[in-house]
Amino acid sequence: MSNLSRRFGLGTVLALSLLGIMALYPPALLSQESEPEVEVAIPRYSLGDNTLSMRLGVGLPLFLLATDAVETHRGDSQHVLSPNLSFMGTAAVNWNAYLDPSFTIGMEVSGALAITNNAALLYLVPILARGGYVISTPQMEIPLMLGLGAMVMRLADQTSVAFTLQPGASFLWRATSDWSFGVTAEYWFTWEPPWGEGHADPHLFGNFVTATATAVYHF
Amino acid sequence: MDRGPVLTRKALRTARVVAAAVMLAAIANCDGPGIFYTLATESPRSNRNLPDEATVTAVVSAGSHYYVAAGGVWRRAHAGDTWEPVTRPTRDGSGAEPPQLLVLGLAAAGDTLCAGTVRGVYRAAASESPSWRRVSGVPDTEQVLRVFAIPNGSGEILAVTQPQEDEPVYRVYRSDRCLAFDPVAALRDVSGLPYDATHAFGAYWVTVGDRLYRGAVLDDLEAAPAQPDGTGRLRGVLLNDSGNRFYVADESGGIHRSEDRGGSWDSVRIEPPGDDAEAVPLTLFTQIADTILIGTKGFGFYQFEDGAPERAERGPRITSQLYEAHITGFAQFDGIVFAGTAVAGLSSLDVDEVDGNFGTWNWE
Repeated sequence: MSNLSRRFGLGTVLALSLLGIMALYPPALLSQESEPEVEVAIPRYSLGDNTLSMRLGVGLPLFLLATDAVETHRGDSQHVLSPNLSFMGTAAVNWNAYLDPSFTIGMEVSGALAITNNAALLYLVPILARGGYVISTPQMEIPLMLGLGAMVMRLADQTSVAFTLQPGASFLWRATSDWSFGVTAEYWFTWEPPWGEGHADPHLFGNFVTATATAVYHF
Repeated sequence: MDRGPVLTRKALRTARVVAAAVMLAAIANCDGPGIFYTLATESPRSNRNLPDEATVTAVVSAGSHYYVAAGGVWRRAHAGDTWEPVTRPTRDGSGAEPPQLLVLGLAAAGDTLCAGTVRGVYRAAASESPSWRRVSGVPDTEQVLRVFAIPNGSGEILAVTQPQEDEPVYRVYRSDRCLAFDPVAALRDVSGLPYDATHAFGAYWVTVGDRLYRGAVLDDLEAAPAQPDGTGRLRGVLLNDSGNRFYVADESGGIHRSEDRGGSWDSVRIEPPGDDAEAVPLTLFTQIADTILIGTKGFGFYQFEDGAPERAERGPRITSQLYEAHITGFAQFDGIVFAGTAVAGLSSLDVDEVDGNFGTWNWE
């Protein structure tokens, strides 16, 4: 703390700390002024407990990275390329099983739809194995997730598969003992190798971000 | 007994198998450089009011605009990028709002547009709002199949009409700057319509069916004494920019070259790129500096250095809109090359931006 204080000033550090505490423990602060303190127990999940989460939201295709320079339709050669896509709509269903109160494993199937510059539809269907670490507070669950798998893509009459790494985090409010609601943010890092024989084309890496409204059912 | 963990393990195992099966099926269908590559490289279709699925039969430059015939007529300013429809010719005396005629061919002589329609030939000055007038000489009962401007700067324009049921003859009409047409030839070779024409070595050369015709004047066309040794109908005919080499293309993939003014021909054949096709049907030529492009039906275009058709290579990349296009014709004006297609609109190439590669085209 002393190093941080010297670098940013004591006031800044205290203000940030307070904001962090308010974000993680809002009832603890509010209850001192308004209502009598209610003791809320953090649910203790264990092996055999599951969650099913449903997400719906939007995504933004950021850029493509190529291992070799790719010549665009404008005639210039570049390593960083525009994906030439619109905003995406995305939806996902995710099943997780608790291994212990903090760690989960599971699977996820999601789908995304984007429109190309030529008004063609691009379908993306990632199928992922997921691992997660869940930070729990009395009112909040914050799963930090890492997904690993592959993504089936379809554009006009082309089909392709890209390998995918998806780190992300959810911020969920416990509404009831069974349901939590919140938002999820993810980064999609995808690697599409050139498929088929005889192609000397470059490998391309797609980069996307998504933000989704999330509902989680505990069972 | 708590069966939760057992169910979890069973569900995971099933999900893994299903996911693996989906991925294997998808990978089996993968081919080519990939969807990301397509997204990064494909030319955007424009939203410039020129239909993307149009079949372009001609591109000309007149006045300050480029004009395209594709059933209707569109134009854009030389310095602009937006196409606008131009009022088509109407049949004279058909009422207050006569139906507009289908335009099948278009040529230009100076600032005059010359449109071949399903009912004769019409001309208009390339003004802000072209006003079409029927040109005499070609009966308005005849359907004009092709209109050529002879590429010798003379302003000569040929029109070829559809044979009548009772007389299987292709009639060829000639005009000076589309002022009035005169019948110059009646070609009874019905193996194919007159497809391309040029003027070279003091004579007119016209490809008709599987033969090459030649004549000092157009009303005296005769089969050329030396015929290209092809197995398909002849299509494009080109005199190179240096004026010392003569090419004819045919529909079976043959490129025929003459270096003695058409006195003799040697031939090479472009082999189909896959097993599915028996031949690469060739259409029309154009020349860009030392490179000659030859259009095809269904394979985009091939390119070769002038004098070396045996080294012809396929031009467009797999992601190009021209990769499997039927090229109906090329046109060049002031450093811009246009490639008209059947049902794939019009593409263009800025020659100044080409770096030895003619694979990247803009979609007009």
